[in-house]
Order: sequence, then structure tokens, then C-alpha cells
Amino acid sequence: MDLIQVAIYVLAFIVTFWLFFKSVNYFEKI
Amino acid sequence: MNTELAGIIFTYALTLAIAIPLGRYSARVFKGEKTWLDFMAPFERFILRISGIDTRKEMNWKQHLFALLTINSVWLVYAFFCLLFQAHLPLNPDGNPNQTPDLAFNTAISFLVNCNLQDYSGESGATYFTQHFVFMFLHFVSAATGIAALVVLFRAMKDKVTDKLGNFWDYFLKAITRILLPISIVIAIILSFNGMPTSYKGKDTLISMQGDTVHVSRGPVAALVAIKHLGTNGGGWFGANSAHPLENPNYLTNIVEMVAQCIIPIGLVFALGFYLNKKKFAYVIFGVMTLGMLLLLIPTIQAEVGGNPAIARMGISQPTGAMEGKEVRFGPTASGYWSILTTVISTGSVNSMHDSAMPVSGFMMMMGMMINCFYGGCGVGFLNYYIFIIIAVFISGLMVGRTPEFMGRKIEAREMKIASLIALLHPFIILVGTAISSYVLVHMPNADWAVKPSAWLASPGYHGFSEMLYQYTSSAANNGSGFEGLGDNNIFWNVSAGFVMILGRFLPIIGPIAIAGILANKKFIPESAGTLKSDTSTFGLMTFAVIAIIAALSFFPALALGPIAEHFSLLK
Repeated sequence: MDLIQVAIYVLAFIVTFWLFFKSVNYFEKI
Repeated sequence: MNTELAGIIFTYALTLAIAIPLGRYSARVFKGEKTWLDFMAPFERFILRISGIDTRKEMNWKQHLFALLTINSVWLVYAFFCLLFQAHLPLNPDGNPNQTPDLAFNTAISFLVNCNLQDYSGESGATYFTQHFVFMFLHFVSAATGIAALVVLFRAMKDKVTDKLGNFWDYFLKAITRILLPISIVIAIILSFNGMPTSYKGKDTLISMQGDTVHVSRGPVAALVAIKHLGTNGGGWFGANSAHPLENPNYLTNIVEMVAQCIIPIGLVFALGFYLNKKKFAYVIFGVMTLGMLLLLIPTIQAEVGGNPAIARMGISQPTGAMEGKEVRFGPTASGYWSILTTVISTGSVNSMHDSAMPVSGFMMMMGMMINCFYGGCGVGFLNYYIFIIIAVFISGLMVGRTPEFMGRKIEAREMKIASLIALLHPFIILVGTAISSYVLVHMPNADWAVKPSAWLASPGYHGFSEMLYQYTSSAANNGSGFEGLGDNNIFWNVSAGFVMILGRFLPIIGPIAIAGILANKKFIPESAGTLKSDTSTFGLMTFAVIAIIAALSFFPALALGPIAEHFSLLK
């Protein structure tokens, strides 16, 4: 299994959800 | 023909006959009133106690969204790693292999977001463990997530001035224990008694009539198919989905599956009326949604029943309509009805191959997903519609020269900015995705991927473009159906469609909840003679016009390159 690819996808999950959490705060102040 | 039409009219009538009382019942559940399923309360209290959750603590809109996003992120990681290591987990009698990282990335997102786009075939790409504890689990929780988000919106629209909008976990749990689970059990029993497999044994072996030995996949299919439809998920046990004879054995199961996928989205529209005590408002919304659905359905059935003009020119009679890619036991009318309902409702299951449908039908299916609010998915359909209501109120206010107000609150710049961003997000992710895939297809045809770009498309030209446009439309609308001519199990499609699916799920939940939460905190303005009435047919038509202009026209140039061009090329 390509562990680098797995790590990249996990990082993508983290970044995507971080953006969703940020967007909640952004919509409050937009 | 008349019998086939009677079949779909009966199916729709049965859907309404169940959806209206279900809407009344759902409103009672979420208002905390007595229902006949109150015996589930001790079980719910037990789940909440072991989870350490106190549902008496009310949340504001931000806390609701944080809870929703947090639990969804946990499920995503869980699903991803289960799929990566499924060959080493129990319940794998057929010895199916692990999913590759890019396929697991796509599949985990797909089921988390209620899309169920499948770049694998269920018979060989998943095990009984992942079908149960990943897919079926996500079928329940993703549908319940959408319903819980919608109840937050209901609550925000109901209370006059408040930031206390109930408890997310309370709504989420009740959506499962009081709605999804009991109805799923009834549906699964009906399906299993009609020939759908319910077995934990691996593949069966039989000798066909021509003497070949055939290995037939099976499993506890009926249980999965029940929630697959009820939760508007759509991900099938078998690769051919509900066109497979073991996933949809006869016309009765076809009706049951069809009704199951429609009752919650339609029922929740009526639940809005019962919850807010504004039944007329709900009827107007239902009327707009039904009008939109019929405008997509009628041309589809006409095209399918009329047959393929290219075949007619060859002198071949088509007494049963365009039958390529269709099951003889269902015929073109029931297949056309399913195709439109499954695309407007965001289930994405299929009982015929959409890739083989007439170009007019392909156009209508894509329109259903591009608009994505004519009934829509479990909970999220009305969230999408809410965005169009906000825009319609704003435009109506400008037209009559008054400050736009909706449900006693002023619509101001902040709400309009959020509504505009969410309304434009859907066309943006679909069209950008299709543009990038078209570029890759032309400029990198021999890239060394599992399926090379030069081999992506089963059909060249307009139809090939439609296959790519359909894939991103289905992903963004969290629908999951496919023009199966597309060779999509490679890193490009798995990753790009994965991102489109996840963006198309959570931002359209965050936006409407944010608007509703912000509006709920505003000063309540009592209705007066100058208030714009939102429960009139005029306002319904205004909303319909906004949907047509924003959602439909955004996509018209892309549709002209695909199904519209293909339709006219057939008439040559």
C-alpha cells in the first residue's frame, strides 16, 4: 500500500474539515 | 402503455398517501410531542448516557454545525481505514481485496456525504463487513445528519427571537430511532419476502440453461436496499444497482423501492407546515417542487416511450419504446419515472442504465441534479430550496421597493452574501470539474493511470462530454448515479469527484443553517399589510423563476455541448 498517498488523503481530510469549521466563523462575520 | 402510466401514477399516489402522514408524524417527533414510538425513549436515553450527552442543553446555530462537522469528520476517517484494510477484516467470504487509497478516499467521502457514487462494483469491491459497518452505517447516519440539519432550520424559523435551537444529538438520534430504523425494518421485510437475498453465505454456484457454471454474489441485500432508498443514499449492493434482478426482483419491489426513496424528502416538506403551523406555506413549496419534477418527468417519458429515432430510421419497430439499457420487467415508463425521481431526490439508485437513455432524458436527469431542490435529499433538499427562497424574497423586496422580510426577519447584506455564495458554489464545482477533465482528456490522453484518459469515455463526441458532465453533476448534487460509460476508477476521477462531493455536501448545509441562525437572532417584526406573503402562489412562482434563472441557466452552455447537441444530431 502506498503510505504516502494514504497520508496525503488523511491530510486532505484534515484541511477540508478545518476549512468547513473556518467557514462557519466566516459566515458569522461576513 | 396505459398500464405502464397507471403504474407510475399509482406509485406517486401511494408515495403521497404515505408522505403526508409521515410529515405530520415527523413534526410531532421533533416538537417532542407524544408519538406511538415513544417506547424507544429508554433505548435513546441509554445511547445518550453511554455517549455522555445531555440533550437538555440547547445549542445555537454554530454549536449545531460544530457538532455536525465533528462527528462527520470522525466517520470519514473510520470509513477510509476500514475500506483500506477490508480484506483483513471479518465477514469476507468471497475473499475480496482491499480498496486502493484513491478508491477508498472516493468511497469514504461518497457514503459519508449521502452521495454513494460507486467507482467500484459491490460484488468484488466491498466485503460484507464494509457493506454493513461502513456503507449501511453511513446510510443511516448521513440521512439522519441531513434530517437533523433541517430540523435546526425548522426551529430557527419557528421561534420568534432566540439563539437556542434545540440539541443536535437529540434531533440526530430521533431521526434514526423514530423514523429511519422502524420504516427500514418494514421495507426490508417486504423486500426479503419478494426474492431479495438475505444471507451471510458467500457466492452461490449454479448451472445456467446453456450449461455454464455461474457464481452468483449474494449477501444480506434486503437490509441494505431498504435504508439505501429510505435515506436517499442510493449505493447498491450489486454493481448494476436496482437494475440487478436480486436487488429489484419484480414490479412490486420496484414500487416499494420507488416509494421508499420519496417519502422522507416529500414528507419533510409537509413536516415543515405541521412544525411551523403554516400548512399553506408547505403546500406552496410542495406545489413548486412538484411542478418542477413534472416538467422534467413528462419529456423524459415521452422520449423513452417514443423510442430511438436512429433505430426507427433503420426500419426497426420499437413497440415498447427505447429499450436499450432497460429491464424488460419494468419497461420505459417505470424506468423513466425512476430516473427522474432518483435524480431530483438525490438518491442516485438506478433501475436502468442512464448512459443508454435518450439525450432528452439525460438532459432532464442532469437538470434535476443541477437544480437539486425539487424535493431533494433527506433534509438537504429543503436546505437548498431555502437558499432560493432567501434570494426570491430579496428580489421581490427590491421589485416592490420594501425591505425584504421573511418569517418576520429582515434579509440584509450578510444573508444575501451567504445565499449567493452557496447558490454559485454548485455550478462552480460542476463546471470547473468538467472543464479540467475535458482538458486532461485532450492534453494527457496517455497518462499512466489505472484507466488512461484516452479510455475514459465509452462514447466519443457529445455523449462522451455528457458522461463527464454527469459525473461531476452527480457528485456535486450528492446524487451518486452515473452515466456508467465513464471509466472512473482511477486517481483523477476518484480524487477530483471526492473533493466535489465533500464541498457539495457540507457548504450547502453550513450556509442555510448560518442564514437561519442569524435571522433567528434578529428582532421579530410582526406581519403587517406591507409584509410580503410567502405562502401565496405568486411567491411560489417567483421562487420557481429564481430557481430557473440561477440554477438552470448557469448550466445551459454546458448542456448545449452535451445532451442538447446529441439530441439534435439524432434528428439529422
